[in-house]
Amino acid sequence: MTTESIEARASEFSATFQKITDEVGKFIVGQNDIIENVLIAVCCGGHVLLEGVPGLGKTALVNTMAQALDLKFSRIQFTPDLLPSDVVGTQVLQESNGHRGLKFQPGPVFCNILLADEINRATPKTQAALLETMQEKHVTVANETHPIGLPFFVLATQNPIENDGTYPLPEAQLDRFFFKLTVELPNHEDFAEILNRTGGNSLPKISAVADGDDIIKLGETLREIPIASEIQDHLVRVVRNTHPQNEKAPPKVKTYVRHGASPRAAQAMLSAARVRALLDGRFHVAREDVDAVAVPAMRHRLILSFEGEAEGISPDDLIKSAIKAAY
Amino acid sequence: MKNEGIQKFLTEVTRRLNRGLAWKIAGWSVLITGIILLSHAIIYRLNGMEVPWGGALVISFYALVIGAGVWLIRLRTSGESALIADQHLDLKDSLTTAIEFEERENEVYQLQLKQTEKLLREKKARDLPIALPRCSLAAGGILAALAIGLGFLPNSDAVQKRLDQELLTESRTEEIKSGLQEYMEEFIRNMDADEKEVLNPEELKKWVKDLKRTKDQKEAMRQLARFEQKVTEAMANMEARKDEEAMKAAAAELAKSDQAAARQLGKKLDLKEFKMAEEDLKKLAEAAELKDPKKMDPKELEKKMEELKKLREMTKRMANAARKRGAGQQKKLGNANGQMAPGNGKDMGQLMDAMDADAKGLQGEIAKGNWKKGDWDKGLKFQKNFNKNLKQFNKNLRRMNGKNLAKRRLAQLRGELNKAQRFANGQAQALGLGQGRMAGGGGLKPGVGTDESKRKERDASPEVGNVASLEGQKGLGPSITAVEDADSGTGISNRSGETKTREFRRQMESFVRRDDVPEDVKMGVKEYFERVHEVSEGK
Repeated sequence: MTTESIEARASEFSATFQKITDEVGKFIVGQNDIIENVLIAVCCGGHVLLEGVPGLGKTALVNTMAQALDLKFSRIQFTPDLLPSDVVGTQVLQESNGHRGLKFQPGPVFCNILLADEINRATPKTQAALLETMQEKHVTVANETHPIGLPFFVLATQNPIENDGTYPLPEAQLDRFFFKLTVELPNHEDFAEILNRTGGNSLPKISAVADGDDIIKLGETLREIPIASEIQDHLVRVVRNTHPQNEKAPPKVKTYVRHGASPRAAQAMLSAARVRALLDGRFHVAREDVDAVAVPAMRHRLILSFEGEAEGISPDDLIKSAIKAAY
Repeated sequence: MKNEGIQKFLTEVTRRLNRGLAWKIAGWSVLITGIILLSHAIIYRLNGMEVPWGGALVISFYALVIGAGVWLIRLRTSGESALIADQHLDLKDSLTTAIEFEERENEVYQLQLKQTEKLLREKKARDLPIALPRCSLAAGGILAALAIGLGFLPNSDAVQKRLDQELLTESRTEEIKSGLQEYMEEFIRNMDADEKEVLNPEELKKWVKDLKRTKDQKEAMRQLARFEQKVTEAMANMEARKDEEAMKAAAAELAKSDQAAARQLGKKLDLKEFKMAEEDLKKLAEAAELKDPKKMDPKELEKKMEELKKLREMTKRMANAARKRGAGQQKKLGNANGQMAPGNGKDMGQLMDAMDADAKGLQGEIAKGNWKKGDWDKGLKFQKNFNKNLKQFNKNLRRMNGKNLAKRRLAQLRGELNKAQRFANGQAQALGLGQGRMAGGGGLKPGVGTDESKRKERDASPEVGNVASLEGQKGLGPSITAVEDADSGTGISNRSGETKTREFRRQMESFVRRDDVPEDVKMGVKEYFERVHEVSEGK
């Protein structure tokens, strides 16, 4: 590979990323960070957990993303009575040519983009069925394995305020999500723009600007970006600083954190940082890239101590103090 | 291969950062030096002392050395410089990454280097901010100036007085030591053989050698007091009072004799001229000795008999005196103080008794006039015993003579020590050891004049007359819990005088060690009691 081809691929990466962002931006007002981070996760092949109160456009974002990417999209509304077979599919009895036999009926999980709406409302058993699929990228029913087509992304949503009748995701399963993004209330101008765009008879038309192959190509390109050992050390220091056992961890972390982020978090941070470097037109990862992706990559991976839970400590603050301590 | 553009930029950055670091360390060094200098100056000034410039120079030198050392230790490496440049020149870690990727061949690394080089072309190393530590430098300079200002102030009166006193004490202790050394050499040179037998010259030299040059007046006084104590102890060891009393009694008895030789001997014993008495006795004994009576003509024998008679008169008188004093009982008392003749178990009284017995026996044997071999053996035995006891008696006399002379000489030494103490204490302006006493001392030869003045400036000690500062010498005062000797309270009747003397001596010693008594009063009391003791011993 020549330097020119690498430069061309890097330019292509930025252009594709920008096209998708622009296309999604036609419908989704504001939320630029959310859109960017979702796209970063998509480029890295990771799943995203979106958290926010109802009505902030989480589902709309995922829908728009699916339209812009020209990928097969499915949506599962998680409820307490949802069964694993409703997610992954089941075997049904079918008659063909006078013979009756069991045939696998794929569930909604067989798609490229899966919207797992209100994932914390399903029972742990159903959650586990989905989360296994997220990790393995295939489904096994009746000892028969059925691969899921790539790319495959799960964009799960959850509501942080209604806790009655919910089943919070276990820590091990939360770790499978590349990013956890918190969708905030839009500001005044964005609010007005939302009303302007959606209050009329016509809705913005979203057209596909990329497909699955483009996404896979984006993933290949970003893995080319090198990281210097000094920057990698910084990344490791940031992750290790979230562990209360680490003697260099800040006092806040030592007081309020029970378990810090896993090596999987470091992997996610490195991939995401590479994307940011490419988007910035650089061929190396900088510490600012690492710092920028640290919060979404680790906020769902920290397990707070009793004191932390009792005092309502935000994991974001703890991660910021861990970043500060890494310098 | 290293990228030239990146390396050049990095070198410039490193140099600039090291310059900045040097400024920073210089600022801190100046500030810390200023603080130390001012503290140093304030500590000295609070004690009223002049600030020593040497200390300030040492502090400044060390600050320079430590500052340079810290700078060398903390010199920026290229990695550190790259990190700082990335941070301050908004390079987004390009430089840090580039210096790691410089040696790699892969295209993406080359691309990164190219990108970094391009980026660095727009940046300047001088854009890196170097903060001159103006505040630290100014504050340090002000503090140092204050310290220097304080450094010009002179010593306070009290301190100057103390320093003068220290200098004076130091020079005086030196002078005392050398003076005492000279005095001691003269002292030892003048000692005769008898004195050297009872007083070890090497020990005397060691006493002087133990005196150390000191700035501390109290220490100087303590040293001299210790010296004096040793002299006093040595004088106490020179006591031979019982034997001297025995000799006094013998002298009194000999004075009653009708023989001129015996009276002469008595007079010499009375005047404590033991050496001369010993020589007289020796001559008389030689004159009376019968070496081979068979070969002697009657005239010669008669002359020997006459000499023996004189000798017998002396021994008889002396033995009588000894018996009267109850000398035979001295052995039972077992008081070692003043006992002579160590080793033979006889004191002077017993020896006189034995000599008289031998002389009497010899006289009897000669009177028989039987010189045959078996018969004269007894006389020969008497003569041998007499000679042996006389030899011991004479030896004791010589020893007493030595002790007497040594005691007298030690008393003189103590007097000189008193002078030294007065000199060290600032009560005398000149040491003047051995004036008028030492051989060859006391000025120039007759007819030789000089206008030389050895001591031009003799400032009086600042402490003279300062009663408020009088203090005792720690550790040398008498203990109030001292355990008294058994005989100090309820002694037997014939020793009460001795007990009293001892008590007076103790009181005197206690008095002269008191802090609140001026030195000249102490000296007066000491001399008074010394004379009292000498008179009581002499009676």
